[in-house]
Amino acid sequence: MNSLRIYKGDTTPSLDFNIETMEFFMEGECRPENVLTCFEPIIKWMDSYVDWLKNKKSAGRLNFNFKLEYYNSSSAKFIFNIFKQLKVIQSNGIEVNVFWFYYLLDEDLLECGQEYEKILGLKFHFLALQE
Amino acid sequence: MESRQIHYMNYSSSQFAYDTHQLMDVKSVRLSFSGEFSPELISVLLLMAKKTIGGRPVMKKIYNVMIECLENITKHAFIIEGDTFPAIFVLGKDNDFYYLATGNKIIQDEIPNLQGRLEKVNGLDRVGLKRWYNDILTDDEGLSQNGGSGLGIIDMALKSKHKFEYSFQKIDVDHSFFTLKVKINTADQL
Repeated sequence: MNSLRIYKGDTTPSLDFNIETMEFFMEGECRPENVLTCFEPIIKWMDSYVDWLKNKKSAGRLNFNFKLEYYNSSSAKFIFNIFKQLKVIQSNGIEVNVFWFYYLLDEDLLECGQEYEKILGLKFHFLALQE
Repeated sequence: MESRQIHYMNYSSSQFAYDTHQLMDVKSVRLSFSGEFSPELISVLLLMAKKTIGGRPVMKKIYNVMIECLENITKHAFIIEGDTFPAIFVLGKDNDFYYLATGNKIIQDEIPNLQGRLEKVNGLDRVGLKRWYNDILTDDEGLSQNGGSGLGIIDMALKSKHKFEYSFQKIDVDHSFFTLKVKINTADQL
């Protein structure tokens, strides 16, 4: 199992899912021209990671740092899917913390995070950034 | 039809530019484009909108809604392949709000579904919109054939906090021109 590293594109975010430190970062803007091409590798990687962790019977703590400034509506379901997999990871015995970054005046993004928190029952921490 | 063609032939391009200028109420228009929309163009328009509106807090909201508007145009443009009927995008500002307006040709058969969804969005309050959004977000259905999740217009309504204004104008037997106007308060503190 290798860490997942994807570099930022014009319309796609950067991803750094480090399996050693268990610090995951998703950063930038997400409005890919083709959502399937963008997300399929990520979802597949997450699936294998979930299994790998389970087989390893590892405990510990995973921090998911959500630093997307924007994601479009076609990406929303895929992003939600990543969170659902985090939920599975948590039910397999890992403590998952989501750090949801948003710009102070961006109430829309804050609200999205709060909705996710409600639906998923994961532990969310909201961090406001100054513009 | 014939008289119309003659009319166009004698219609000078400068006159056309003038008429369009008058028609568009240019005082309120900050940015507009009509023609073929592509992903590259979306990036350019977004950049220009940022420059026009500046770094005000409301820009973030405009930016988000604008992407959905423009993606809707490109998705529909994809369905009507090879068609050159131009779509239009306008970003403008009235006294109390910014508005984003789009117009694009759609297939007649799509109207009932689209109209139904627009009516539903306009009929729901914020709580209802969020509930509908979450229902779609958490269901196991995939994307539609044009890559839409069905979340776009709900997302736009949540961000806009205004009712949509829209219309369908018949172009021919199989097609209509669909216009949509989304408003965002200028004083919206996001």
